[in-house]
This record gives sequence, structure tokens and C-alpha cells, in this order.
Amino acid sequence: MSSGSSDDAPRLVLVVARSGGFAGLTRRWRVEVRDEADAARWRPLVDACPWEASAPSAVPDSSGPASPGPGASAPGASAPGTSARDGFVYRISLADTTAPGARPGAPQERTATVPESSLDGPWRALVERVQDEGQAVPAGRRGSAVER
Amino acid sequence: MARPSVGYMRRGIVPPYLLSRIAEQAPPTFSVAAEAARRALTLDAPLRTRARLSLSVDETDGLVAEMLDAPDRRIHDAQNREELPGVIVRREGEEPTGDVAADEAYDGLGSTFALFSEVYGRNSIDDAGLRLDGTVHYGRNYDNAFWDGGRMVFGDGDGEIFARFTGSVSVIGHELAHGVTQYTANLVYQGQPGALNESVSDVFGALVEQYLFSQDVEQATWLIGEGLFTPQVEGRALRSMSAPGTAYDDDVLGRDPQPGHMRDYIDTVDDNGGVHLNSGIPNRAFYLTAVALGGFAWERAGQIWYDTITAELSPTADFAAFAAATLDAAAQRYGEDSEEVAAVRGGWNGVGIDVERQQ
Repeated sequence: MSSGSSDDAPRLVLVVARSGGFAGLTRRWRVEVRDEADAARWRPLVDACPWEASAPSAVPDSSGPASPGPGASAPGASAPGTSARDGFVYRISLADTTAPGARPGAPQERTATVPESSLDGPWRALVERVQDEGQAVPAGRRGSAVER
Repeated sequence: MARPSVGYMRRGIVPPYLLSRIAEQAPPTFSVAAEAARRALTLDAPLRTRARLSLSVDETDGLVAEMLDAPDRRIHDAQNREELPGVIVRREGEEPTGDVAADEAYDGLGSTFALFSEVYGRNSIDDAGLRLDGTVHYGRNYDNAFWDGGRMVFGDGDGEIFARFTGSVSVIGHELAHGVTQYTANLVYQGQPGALNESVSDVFGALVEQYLFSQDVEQATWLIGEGLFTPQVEGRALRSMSAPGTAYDDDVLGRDPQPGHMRDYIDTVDDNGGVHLNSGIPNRAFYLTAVALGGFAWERAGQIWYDTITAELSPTADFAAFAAATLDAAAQRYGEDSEEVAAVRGGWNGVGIDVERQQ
């Protein structure tokens, strides 16, 4: 069923872009999965992540209600994530040519935005695996440290 | 300006009976001390605030006793795990630990407390003596420092690009200022209000350093995070307030992307809408204002910015609204036709923002 040319194309491409932080530097890591056995190893982790709930439009305004005026109790009473400042922000992008309805050259694309304070469970496992097994994408002198 | 030189002391060192005597029997010439003593006695239990006693002699050889606000610091060590708060390593008044990061955090929090208390009369983050909590050695090779809503957290850096994040007092001041903003203007951490939130932290982070080293506007570096990069990186600091976009230019990191003018404003989805990037614009507006006024930046420019975040300011203020609020603050404190108002207007004009008073 697969032609020679489509075997060359990656089945899954995962990109993690970590922006924010005190320094405001964006770093990227990228994984291309070509082999079906490899894809089968990644897929359960990819599917375990709550992509819909973390779609960029679904991420609540990170300002939150943190307005501890007079009488506010202990520090940290504000919910974590709502008042964190200088935390990293992770943008995770997936291009999947093997998803239903997708084909080589027209992958299913998914994107999620996850603040560091919410990076746990499958998101944390996925991000760490991309960082460990992927290639760091250098910002380099030619490009600026941010996409305009 | 003479600075109080007494060391920090535990509250309990001034016994309540002595406070009572000062409060009740002090002669009129000791009115400041009497008021301070009354205040110290009427604090709600459990006592959250500390105070220090300053003794001096005035021009008529009278003894002046003053109760001054004092910080209550607590430094934890995360022992290279990403778990907070970690184990406590230094409480207020305790001797240095010998651990460089822990002691830098302790001292930097003290310097930040000093600026807000001695210059702006603010008693800690919440103006009610809130304890200052910091955690060092967070994570492994962790390239960041952040404010989590209740404490300041510092990584050690990876050793290749970043050294430890406690190495610059401007970073410690920046993180504590996030707490001050949280308790005051509470600017939304997204887009323009988010960039203002970042800029306010850079402004007061820089002022902490300038106040600590008694630097005027000409002597100040106007750099944020000087010394955070390892020697392998071609860069002086993470940000420059005087010349945004020039702090580093490195083979691996690329070039400092900060704009310093509205014509270069960056639209991006990353970094909460570029809060650490577009902050260069209001940063430079503050720098231009401070340089126009000369002298020590914390005295007038800093006062105007402090008045702005502690006045009625919308949490969703954009650059134009914030600029107008600084103009209002300058006019209220120094008068409509003051040089301060002119300096503030010139500062914003210099970054491409026309500003008129709203009130």
C-alpha cells in the first residue's frame, strides 16, 4: 500500500517550541518518525495527551483572577498557573500522515500550548521524549530568536 | 541621603514593655518613635511583620528611635529537584550558609526589600510585611528563574549558556517585583499588559541594582541579568533597557530580539504574546524618562512608575493607557507644568507613543 516515495516521508513530525522564561529565548526540538515500528511506539503517548483541551484557543488567559488584595491569605493562595510569571510556555505541534483522512503530503496537524506549570502527565512525558530523542533546532545568528 | 545602617533584627529583641514606654511616655520630640512603637504593639497576631530599631542623634542632640520595616526572608534549597519549596536553609537573621546561590538570594531579597521600603515606603510585596520566600537549586541545569505566585524560584543554569540565576541582583529584583505587581496593578500576563508586567519588573529590577550600588543614570548599566551568560556566550546580559535588541548577538543564541520602538512591535503567539520581547518598548520609555531627569533614577522616574502601578490602573492596560497613567502620576505628584511631566511625555514619544493626560 505504501509507495517508495511515501516511505521516505516521515509518518509523524513532532516539534516542541519552548518560549518565555526570564530570558525570553525560544528553543526548539524536532523529531521525525519514519519507521512504522517507531511510530507505534510514539502513538500511545501522543494519543494520551489532551490536545483538544490544550488547543491554543482553549488555553485560558493566564492572568487569572489573581488579585490578592488586602486580606489575601498566604502566599501561593492563588492557583498555580494563574499567577506564575517568567515560566516557560511549551507549544507542541504534531503532523501525522497516518491519521484517518490524512495522507503523505497532507498530514493531520495538531497544536497545543501548555504552560510549564501545567506540564505534567503525558504532556511532560511527550515533551521530555522529544527533547531527549529529537534534534535541537538552533536559533543561529542568521535567524532571530523568535518567529516574527 | 543617609541610609539606616542598623542590621536587621528579630522583632522580639525590642521587648513589649519598652515599646509600651516609648508609645506612652515619649516626649513630643520623639513622636515618630512613639507612633512606630504604637504601630508595632497593635499588629494583629500572629505577627507577620518584622521591624528594626534605628537609633540616631538629631541636630539638637536628641535621641531619635525609629521602628523601621524589616524583611522576613526564608530561603529553601530544591536540591536539584523540580519540587517546591525544598528544604529550608536560611531564615531571617541567620548566618550565611556558605552556599553561594542561597546567600545571593538572601542578600538580593534584602536589597529589593530595601528599595521598596526605604524609597517608596512599601513594606514588602503586599505592603503588609509579607514573608519573602525564595528557592534555589531548582531542577537540574535549569535555565530559568520565575515567580510562581508566592515565591521566587532560581535555577542553577546549564553551565554552558547560562550560569546561576541568582548571580544578578536585577533578576532577583525582577522576580520580587512580579509579586508587587500581582498585589497592585495585577497586569494581565498576555500581549501588551503582559509586556508592561514584564517591563515593570525590569524597571524595579534595574532600580534595585542602581540603589544598591548608588549609581546615577549615567553610571547605571541599564542591563537586566548582567553576568547570567557564561563567558562562552557573546553577550553582556539578557536585556538592555537603554538599547533594546543589543544585549547579545551569539552564534548559538542568535541576536537579542527586543524592539525599542513601536514600529518594531512583534506579533507572536509564543511567550504569552511576546511579553519578554515587546517589554523593550516601555523599558526604553522608562530609560529615556530617567535620563531626561538625571540623577538617581529611583527618585523621580521610579517614583512616577511606582505611583502608576499603585494607582487605579486597569489590569488590561495597553501601552497607551499605561503611558497616560504615568503622565497622570507625574502631574499629580509634581504638577502639570513640571519637568517631570515633560520628561515622561518625551520618554513615550521616544518609543513612538503619543501620550496625553486622561484626567
